[in-house]
Amino acid sequence: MEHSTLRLPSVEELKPFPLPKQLSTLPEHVLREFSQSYELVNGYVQSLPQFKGYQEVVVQELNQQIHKINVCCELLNEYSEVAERIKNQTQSLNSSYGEWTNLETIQYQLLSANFNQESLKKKFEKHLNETNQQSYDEIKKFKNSSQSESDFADFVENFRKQRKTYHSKKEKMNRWNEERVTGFV
Amino acid sequence: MTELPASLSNWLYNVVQPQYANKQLTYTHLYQFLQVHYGKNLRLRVRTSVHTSQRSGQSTLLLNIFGSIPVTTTQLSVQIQIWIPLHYPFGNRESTNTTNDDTSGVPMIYIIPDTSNGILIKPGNHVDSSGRFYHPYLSNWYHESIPSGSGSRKYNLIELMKILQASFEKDCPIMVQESSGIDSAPSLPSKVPLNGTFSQNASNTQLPAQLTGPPLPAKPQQLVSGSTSSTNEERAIPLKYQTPLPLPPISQYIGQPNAITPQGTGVASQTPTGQYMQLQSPPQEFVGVHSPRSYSSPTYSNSVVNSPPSHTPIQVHQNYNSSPRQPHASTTSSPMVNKTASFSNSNQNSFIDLIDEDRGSSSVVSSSASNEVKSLILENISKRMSSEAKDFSLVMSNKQKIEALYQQLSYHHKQAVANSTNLESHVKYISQQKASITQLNNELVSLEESNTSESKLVYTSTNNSIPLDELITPDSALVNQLYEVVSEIKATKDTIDLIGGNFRSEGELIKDSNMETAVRTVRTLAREMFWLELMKNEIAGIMNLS
Repeated sequence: MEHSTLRLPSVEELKPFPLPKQLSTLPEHVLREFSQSYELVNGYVQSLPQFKGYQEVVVQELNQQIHKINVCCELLNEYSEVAERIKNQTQSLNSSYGEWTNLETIQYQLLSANFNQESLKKKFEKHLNETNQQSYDEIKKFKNSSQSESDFADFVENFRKQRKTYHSKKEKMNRWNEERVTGFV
Repeated sequence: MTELPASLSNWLYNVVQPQYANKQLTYTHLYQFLQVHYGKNLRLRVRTSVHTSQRSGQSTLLLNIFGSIPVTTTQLSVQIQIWIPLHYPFGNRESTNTTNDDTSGVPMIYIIPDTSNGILIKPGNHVDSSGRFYHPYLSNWYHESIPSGSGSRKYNLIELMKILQASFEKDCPIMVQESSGIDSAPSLPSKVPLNGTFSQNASNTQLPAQLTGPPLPAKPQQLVSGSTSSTNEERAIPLKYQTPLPLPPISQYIGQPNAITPQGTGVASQTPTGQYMQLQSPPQEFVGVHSPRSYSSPTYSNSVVNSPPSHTPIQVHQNYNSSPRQPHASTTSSPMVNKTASFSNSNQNSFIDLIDEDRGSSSVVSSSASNEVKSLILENISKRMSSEAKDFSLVMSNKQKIEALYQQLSYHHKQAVANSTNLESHVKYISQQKASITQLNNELVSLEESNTSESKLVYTSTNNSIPLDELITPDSALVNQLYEVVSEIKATKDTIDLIGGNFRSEGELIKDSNMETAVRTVRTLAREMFWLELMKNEIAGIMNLS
């Protein structure tokens, strides 16, 4: 139904006159009573075809309104379901986010344990001390040997190589402490 | 402006809503008009009344503004009625008959004479003998007041009232009947059998001569006899067919008071118009009573006409108001006039549609009754439609509300579904991220074990590792070479110190058995150290080190 058809008819459009024969042929006093009675005129109005047509249009409009209200009710039910689903999704999201935050903390701790600069320095320093100790072990080893000329030459060469390694690592360690180095760190 | 009572505004709404074409504009104009004039100096009020069209004869229930406008120049109050047509203010543009009052949408204004107080209509430039008010403002109304234009600012009831006041101040449309002038008129014949009617003026056989020829002398006896001998059939003729048709324009009569010829049919000539033709008053009798213009067309004014004895003695006040119609009172002493006056007084406050009224005829009574029945039915239908208008407005209001509710619910539902979909993708994404970080953490745990157990390597993943020595790299190749040279110098010094017994707490390695070898080794080491020192100094020089 178009909106333009839903219109309150004017009195002229109702075309109440001329009165139908059933009324116009009534005696004058009866017709006068009829005209003075609101209920009777109301009944006459309701019998007019134009008014009936108007009422049909209004009924159609009301049916459409009822249909739309029912659609609204269905929408409300669907909306409730969607709202419940959103609620569950939000709870799931919050829970997952909490877990993810915890895992991130653990990850940070593990990364720190594996690749923290201080721990790497300690590890490097430990390795440096091991190298230093190896040179002392070499001395002990030479002193406990027969100390022949050939052994002496080999010992000097090995000892010098180990000390070179040691001093090289120590120099790096010093520079590292001074933060004058590059590399993995 | 003041607020109108709620009951009045509601009543106005209920009247306008079911009937009028331009409901909102009509209601607005009337409301604003009443805000200005209701209960104020002009004491204008509004009501509904049945209006009978001058042209079509159709009766319609219309809004009617009535009241009086004081005229300061004459100290008189002009009683007016303004009829608001159903197609106010634009008219029925679809109608082909644009000059019809019913469809033009222009308010119809009538001057109502108060005959009981001797107030008579004075026709002029803007008022005709029936009291209808004309003005260029009204003439332009239909053409300039169009729905798509801004005509409603200029053409409305408030502006109309200003036009009326200005026009009345300039040319008062009413005048007071001076009793002296009437009293001084020649006495009328005493024998005038009037029978309370107005149709005693002429017989049917005289009419053609009156219509076409010069004015005939009055024949009172024939009039009387004609009146008294009129049959029931003659009485059955409705008064609207006995009253004169609208008179020609005033310009035709100026200076030709005796040349007036009634327009219309022969039936119409039975009306008092014939009397006017015969009852021309001497001009001098109007001096001081009427304005010169009124004097120039005494019959057109339809006011009190004093006839000389030689003419018909009948003095009739004829008012051609279409609606309402009130016979004028007369102050003359004639029996006829007295009878007329009493008739006027008895009906001066009622709205009698003389067009549809007849005297003594059952058929005409039936017609009048029919009109009354019609108006009552119309009023009841209006009431019914007023209540229907409330229901209709409720239906329309509910329609708008339901539509708005549906639109809002649909919008929110779509938004909710979209939000749910979006949330679902977020949940999936964060679950993937959680799984990824869990896997990475597990790998880091295994790496931690590997890095703890291995002292020379740093594991970055299960399959990749970096040697610990390569964690630190010199800034440049020259620096790396410098580190190497310095480390070798220090290692050479440590070796020489160890051989000589100066390395920490270690004893010397030189013994008698290896003296020669030890000296040769130390000499070689010292020579290498010299070159290393030289190289170190050269690098330091390149690097600008001190």
